[in-house]
Formats: sequence, structure tokens, C-alpha cells
Amino acid sequence: MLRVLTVTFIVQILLLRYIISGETGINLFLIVTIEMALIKGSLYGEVTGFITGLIEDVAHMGVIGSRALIRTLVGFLTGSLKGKFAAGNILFQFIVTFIVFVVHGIFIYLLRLVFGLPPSSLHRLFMNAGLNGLIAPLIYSLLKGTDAG
Amino acid sequence: MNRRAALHVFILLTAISMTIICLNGLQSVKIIKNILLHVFFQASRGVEYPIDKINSFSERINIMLDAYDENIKLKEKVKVLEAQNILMKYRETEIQRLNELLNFEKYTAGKLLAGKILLQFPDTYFAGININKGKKHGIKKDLPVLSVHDSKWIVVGRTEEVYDDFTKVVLITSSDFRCAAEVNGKYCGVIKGQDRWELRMDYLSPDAEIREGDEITTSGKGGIFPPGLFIGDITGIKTLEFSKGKTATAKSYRYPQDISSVYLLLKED
Repeated sequence: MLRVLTVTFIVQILLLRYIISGETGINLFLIVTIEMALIKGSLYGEVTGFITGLIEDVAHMGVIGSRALIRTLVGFLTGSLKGKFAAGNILFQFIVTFIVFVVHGIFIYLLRLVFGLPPSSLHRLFMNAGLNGLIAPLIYSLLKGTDAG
Repeated sequence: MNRRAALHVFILLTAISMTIICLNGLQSVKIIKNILLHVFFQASRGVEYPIDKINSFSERINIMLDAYDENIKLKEKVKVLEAQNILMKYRETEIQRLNELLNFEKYTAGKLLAGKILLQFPDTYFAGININKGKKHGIKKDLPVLSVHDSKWIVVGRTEEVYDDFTKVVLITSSDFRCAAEVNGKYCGVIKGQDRWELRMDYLSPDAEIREGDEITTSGKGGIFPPGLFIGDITGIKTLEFSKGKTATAKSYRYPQDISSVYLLLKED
């Protein structure tokens, strides 16, 4: 898992900033959290979510622990889907990722309201969710092919 | 069992997260956050370093490519300037030539007339040419026909048959051509054409100290050509038996076959 997180960290920093800029972007940390949860279950999902959330909290200079809390919840809930559906199905991957991104976005939106921070745009939320949903099957395949699988 | 463990870990992580959120306002947490932020950005910089290097390298490559394009443009400009330079040099040479023409006119006290060479024929290639000046222009038989090359007046030939509008010129390379000449301004002889590129100089004295490369000029003794006109260089020397003197072979400074216009030196009556 450590290797997966390290690679995710490097790829997130290195490559994605060249692909898409601005608010629209690929959140590899969240995709990895979802896929880890789907492949290995809630335990791995929530731990991955907690760590990636904490990293993002530090990086975003927001309220530390907020993203870690939400990601832990996302990892736990997504992990509960393990074994109930055909996890390898591309459409399933897309739908789960899309829903998780939307729910995650709404949580973040609410959390920002609670802490008195300017709310993020919900218009971009669906665009981001769709974009990341398209990437998710690829990440799933990669993780399946590594030790994480 | 797994589900239960997951639930326990979830509760634990949620509790940790909540605690961290609650402690956000503390000064110590802010310090830890700043330290983590610093570590995070240092790590980011470490990861980005090779990419930045690659970017910097590609930028340099782009600059080099731009410089290459610029270099090509500059080379084209240099070519244009070189062409202009050649034109300038040509003009300078032309001015020099015209100046010498004026000086020569003073020197000979005669009058120069420019003529253009008409068609040349293969069977008279070494023998003669026709020029577009004739009796109407004051041309007479046995007038010197000259050209200018490298700021020197060079013998081309002499007028032979003069018609109203054109004149036949016997060339220096013709076997009918004779001209009194001297080597290095000292040793006199006679230059003859031989119907080929090579000229011949006869009647050089046995004591003539001449060598290959020496200049041959007109001596002015024949009555047709004024002294000091250039004919050519010596290319070979032969000493004749029984003290009959020396002969030399020579090549012209500029062969008449290579020029397109000539000057006729008119004599004053």
C-alpha cells in the first residue's frame, strides 16, 4: 500500500498538473481510495482515504483533518460494496467513482460552509466527477495488476 | 471479523480526524501544520526537480532552434550583402578603369574610341574579330586596339580592313600580327602571333637576362603601338645556336577571345 501511495503522490504532483489546470482536475488520491476500497475492502479503503486525505489537508492549507475524515468515510462506505457487484465492470467503476466524487464534493462544500470558508463551485463538481469516473477503470486495472490487487 | 476490524479502524480514524479538526485552532498544531507543509513542498520540489530540469532543457533546445533559424536568416542576409559588396567592388573597378582611361588619354595625347566586338567565327578564332566602328567614326588602318584588365592597358590587336560601319581587327594571336616589344623595359624583340594561344617573341639578344614570368610590354618602336602597353608574361625561353640570340614563348594577360569590348586609340592628324 505504501508503494501505491508513493507512486500516487508522485504521479499526482508530476503528471496531472500538466494535463489539466485550474479547478477541473484529476484527483488521483480519491480514485485510489475508491479502487483500494473496491479491491481490498473497507479496512484498506479507509486507511488509504485517511492518509491521502491528510496529505491533501496539508497541501491545501485548509482545516487539517477535514479531508481525512471525509476520505475515511468514503473508503469505509465504498469498501462495503466489495463483493456485491462486479467490481471489474467499467460502467460500474464509472458510476461508483462518479457518485463518490459527487458525495465527496458535497461533503467538502458543507464542511467549508461549517468552517466559514468560501464554498467551492458545484458546477465543476459534476464535470470533475465525470472526468475522474473515466479515469477510474484504468487505475483499477493498474492496481489489480500490482501487489495491491 | 474483517468487517468488525474495519469498523474499529474506521471509528479510530474518525476519532483521530475529529481530534485533529478540534485541535486546529491550537498554536502547536499550526506549527506542526507549517512543518508538514514545508516537508510536503520540499518533497514536491524534489519530485518536480527532474521535470523542471527537463523543461529547462527543452526550453534551451527551443532557444537553440530559434537561434538556428535566426542563423539561417542571417546567412541569407550575409549572402545579399556579399552580392552587394561584389557589385560595389565592380563599380569601384569600373571607376578605376575609367580614371585610367582618362589618364591614358592624357598620356598618349590621342583619342580613345570604345568599340564592341561583333560576331566571332570559329575559322578566324585566333586570327581576327570585327568591331562595330568604321570609317564613319574616324577609324583607319593600323590603329592599336586595346582592352583594360587589372588596371592595365593590354594589346588586343590592330585594325586591318576598315569599312564604313565596321572594321576587321587582326588579333595578337594571329600569325599576321607583329609588334615591337620589350622584356622588363630593357630587352627588345618582336612579338608574333601563331594562330594559337601561345605567343612568340623573337630577336631577343643573346645577352638578354630574361626569365619565366617576366613582363612583356610594347616598346613603341613599331610606330603603331605606343610604349608601355602590356602584352603578356614569358612562359618559356630558348637560346638559339651560333649566338643567334634568344626566343621566348609568352601568354597574353587577357586573350581577346575573352572580352566583349575594345578601345581604339585614334591618332591625331
